[in-house]
Formats: sequence, structure tokens, C-alpha cells
Amino acid sequence: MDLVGSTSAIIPASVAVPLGGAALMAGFSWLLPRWARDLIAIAVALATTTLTLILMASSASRPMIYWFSGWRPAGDMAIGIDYAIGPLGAGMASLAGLLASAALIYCWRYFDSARGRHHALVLIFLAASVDFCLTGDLFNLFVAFELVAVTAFALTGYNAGHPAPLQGAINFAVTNSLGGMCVLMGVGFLYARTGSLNLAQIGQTLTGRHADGLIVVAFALLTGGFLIKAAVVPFHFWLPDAYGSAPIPVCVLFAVIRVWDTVFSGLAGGSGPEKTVLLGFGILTAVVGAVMALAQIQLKRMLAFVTMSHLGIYLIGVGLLTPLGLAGASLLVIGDGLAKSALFLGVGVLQHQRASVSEIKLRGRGRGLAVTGFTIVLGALVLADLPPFVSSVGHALLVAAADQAGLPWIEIVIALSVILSSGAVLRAAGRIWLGWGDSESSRPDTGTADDPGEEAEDRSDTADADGKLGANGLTGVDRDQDGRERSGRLRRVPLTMVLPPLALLAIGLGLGLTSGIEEHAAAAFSDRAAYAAAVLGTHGGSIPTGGRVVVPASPAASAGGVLTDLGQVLAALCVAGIALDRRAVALRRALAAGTGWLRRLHSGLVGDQVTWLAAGLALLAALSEAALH
Amino acid sequence: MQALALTDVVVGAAVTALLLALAVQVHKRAGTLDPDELGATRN
Repeated sequence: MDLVGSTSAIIPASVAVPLGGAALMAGFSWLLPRWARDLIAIAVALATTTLTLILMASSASRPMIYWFSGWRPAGDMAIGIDYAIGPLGAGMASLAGLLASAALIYCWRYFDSARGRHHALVLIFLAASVDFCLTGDLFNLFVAFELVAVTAFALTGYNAGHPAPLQGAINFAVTNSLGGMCVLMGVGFLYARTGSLNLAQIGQTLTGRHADGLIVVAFALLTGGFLIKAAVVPFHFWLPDAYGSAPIPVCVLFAVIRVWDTVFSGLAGGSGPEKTVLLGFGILTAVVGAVMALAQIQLKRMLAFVTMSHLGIYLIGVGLLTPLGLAGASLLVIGDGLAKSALFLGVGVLQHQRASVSEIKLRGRGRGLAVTGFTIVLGALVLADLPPFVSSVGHALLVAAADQAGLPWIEIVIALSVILSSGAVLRAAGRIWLGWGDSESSRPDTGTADDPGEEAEDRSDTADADGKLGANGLTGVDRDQDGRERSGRLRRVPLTMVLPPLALLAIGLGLGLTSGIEEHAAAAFSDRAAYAAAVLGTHGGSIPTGGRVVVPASPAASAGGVLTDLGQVLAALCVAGIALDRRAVALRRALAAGTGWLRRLHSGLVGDQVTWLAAGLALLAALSEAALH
Repeated sequence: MQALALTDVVVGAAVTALLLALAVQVHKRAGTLDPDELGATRN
């Protein structure tokens, strides 16, 4: 309360700073030398991260409400647009800031930053993500959603000369634009029914009402639109093509929860059936992602499927709809998010230094990149919930929540997905650094040109390194400079590419070693009535916070949790070993044949993806009807 | 209400412009505008 006066200026600044930085980048970067451009972009991203961390600290005990332009609610009606900042929202915003900073540091002197466009895009993406995480207004949520989407499309298709990222960008853009339209329609219907766009107000208006057809449709459209962006099965087909822009699906997932929680949870009928819907989608996503990850040879696609599988796990945690499950999911999100980002950056180093991202082509060529190898292996182990890291704490909470909800078999599903997806990454690491495994893919239906697009990308990268101008239309001068710099540095990996992934993993370790983090996470979920009171009611009085959630902290429970996590890590290593062992070829061929139908479904054709989207929405609508009536 | 509609028009315009830019790039690169013809991301 005492900090409100000074921190209230921070709130709009957390969005204004990156936007201002982006404008600076886009407008004035031609004036600045290259090092200045990179430095300013990194400084802006780090400043934004700091601001959101301050917000997270100040909102720990009660939500902070900020009304733009001073439009306070009149009587009981919310007139203006507000930011409703809780520790969860601010935490997600901080994660986005951290990952953006790491990406910008990583891109130092690697990315062609002529005219500052790339940096401007990243900063706008960051501003929109922060806006998305902090806002309490439904339409603002939609606008931020679309802005995140547009900048993500642009960043994905940035290297527009290469065919694979380009087609990936189109698939991404088409499916996610359709998702945006769904969200817009849902928002429109809710506005029509309740006459307000403020989340808290809508929630109040809908409290106690029975869900009629319009609300069911609005619910299905809103949820469906968000799930498309979150890459949940069956809306996930765009993700491997878009090479995983890391923090979006996760932030969106928590937005789904926020919207459900504030808007729809007051409807008469309880929350039981919705739980089943989310759990079902989550389990499906986790399993499909894990299986597809094992089947991949191209490292970036593999990581995209690993991301998807873990998102399914978060969805399971969220679908339990208990504060404990949500707390576990949020800790997992942070720990896994840091590790996944480290993995993506590590694979980027491989691409930069060895000009390939195919596991088969890179076999044995990992010599000389020991630090990157360590990063990738450590990242994979963290994803498998290696004990002192924060992801294992989250995993323990999740398991406890599943037990409380009477669904202990979910733990097996989660363990299986985690083991398979980490095993896939470890297998790749073993093949690349230790030279184990076959030199040919064991899949009968692929030739050596598994990903012709990626091959072309590799070839044109090495061609440019020779100093020739690429045929891809980028300005010749910068490409040449890049080529010369890169070929001069082929022996040594620049520190700016090696340190950020390690730093991210170290943060995960630090958070995991912080005692009491479970209590902080569990206490972060206030109930709807308190939220509504905070937004619409008086601002001077004290606000009742939700009851403290009891976190099982007995030594026996935590020891058991550590053993489970270690068991998962060992199992992942075993999976990797089996995958590489020459004696297990028959087993691998059988598994490949058995999952062939799943792989063929991922055809990369945008028409297929949209069809699945429509089918998924219909399914969601039917389930919502059953759940809410 | 009108402000919302106008905001949405702007958002829609940005998305459409970006999709158009991507389509132009695809045509430059692959010579076709038929998405089924692009085979780069087959699994």
C-alpha cells in the first residue's frame, strides 16, 4: 500500500518503455553504429524485465489496479481500461522480458540488424506480451493478443529468403489469425450479453446466471481462440513449422485461466465438467508432443514438439482447477521456460557453427562445442525435472494436486511425456557429441533430404560465409559483413551466444534453491470476489485475500518427490540410450511403423491445419455445451 | 463502441498487410500461390 504512489508510475512504463525503445530502433537506428543498436535494444529489454519484477514484488500481497487516464469506475460500472496486476501476471511478464533479453544478447552481432527492424520487432513483441499479461480489460486483451501474433508472424518469417521458415510463417499466420477472429467474436458476444468489457465487471454480471446458448458459444470461441495460440492438440499443427517462438503459448495459457477464472467461474453449474475438458486436451497434447518429438531428426522441430508436450502438462496442472495445481503449473512454466529457451539458443549455436540442425548430419560433429553440449544436456535434464531446479518443485506440487483431486494416474501420463521428450533431446545430444547411433535414419520412409527447406537454408548459409551474395534479396552489404564475420569466427563461439543459455539455467537453479517458493506460488491465486472487489470497489480499504493454500511440505513427501524426479531423469537417459543402441534397431523400426499415421497427419499443408482447427472448435463447442449446461 | 470497431479495423489491417507480404515472398520464392504445392515443411 505504501508503495502504490511510486510504483503506479511503473505500471504504464512497463509497456511504454519497450514501445518507446522500438520506435527509437525503427526510426533512428541508421544514425547509430551497430554496437549501439544492439546495446540499446538489450538495455531496453532488461529495463522492462526489471520493471515487471518490481511489479511482481509489489503486487505479492494484493492485486494492484491501475486505471488509464484516470477513468475510475462510476458507482458500480467500470468505465475505463485497467491493468489488474497480480504476482502471476507480473511474473509471466517478467519471464517474457527475461527471454527477450536473452534472445537479444544472443543475437549480438549474429543477426543482421540493419535499420533496426529485428530489434524493433522483438521490443514490440515484448511490449505486447507485457500488456497481455497485465491487462484487466477484455478488448485490450484481444488487441495485445493480435499484436503479439503479428510481431511473431513477422519474426518467424524474417529470414524470408529461405523456404521453410517462410511456409512456416504462412501456416502460423493463417491459423493464428483465425484464432484471433474467434477471440474477437467471443469478445463481441460477451459484450453483447453483459454490456461491459472489463473482466471483473463481466464476471460480476455473469455470477449466478445460468449459461445460455450465447454464453456457451462465447466461452467456446474465446477458449478455442486462445487454445489455438497455445498450440494445444488439435490446434497445434502450426507450431513445429513456426519453430517455437518461446513464451507466447504459455502466456496465452495463463490468460485462458485468468479469463475463465474472472469471467466464467461464477456461472451456475460449478466447475467440474470444464475440468475434464481441459484435462482431456492437456493429456492429448502432452502425449502427442512427446511421441512426435522422438520421431524428429530436425532439432528445431524436435524442440517445438517438446515445448508442445510440456504445454500439455501445464494444461493438465491448470485443468485440475485447484490453486495447488495452478501453483505447480506456474512454477513448471518458469523452470521449463528457462530451460527450453536455453535449449533453443543452444541449437542456434549449432546452426551458427556447424551450419546444420539435422541430428543425422551433425552426428559426431559436436567436438569443440563442449559448453553448448553441456547446456543442451543440462537443459534436457532440467526438463526431466532434475531436482534442485525449480521445475522439479513445480512437478512435485503438480503431483500433489493430482493426488488431492483423486487422479493419481495423471502422474504416470506426465512422467511418460517428460521422459520421452527429454529422451529425444538426450538422444540428439548423444549422437551429436558422442557420435553414437546410426549414421542413417532408421525410418524406412525418409531419404537423406528429410527437410529440403532446412537443407537449403544450411547451404545458403555456408554459401554466404564464402562471401558470395545470397539469392535471397537481403541487402548485399550486410549479408557480406555477416559472412565475413561468421567465417572468421568459425573456430570460436562468441561469448554472447554461450552465456545467455547458461545464465537462464542458472536462474532456474537459483529459483529452485529459494526456500518457500512453493508458498509464494500457491498464494498467488486470489479468488474472484476479491479481484472484483479490488477492481470495482473502493481502493482505500483493505481487501480480503483468499485463504492460504496448504502446501504439503512434509519431509517424506519432498524426499519421495526427489526420488521420483531422479527416476524420471534416469528413465530419460535410458530412453536416449535405447534410441542410440545399434542392437535396438528392430524395436525402433516397429515403433516408427506404429506411429507413422501420426507423423503423416503433420503434413505441413495449411488446408489440413485449418480443417483440424474447425473440427477442434466444433468439438470444444460441443463439450462446452455439455459442461456448462 | 465505435472506438472498439476502429481499433479492430486497424488490427485487421496490420494482420492482412503482413499476410500479403508473406504471400508475395512465397510467390517470389516458389513461383506459386498454391499452398499445397509448397513442400518445404512435410514431416
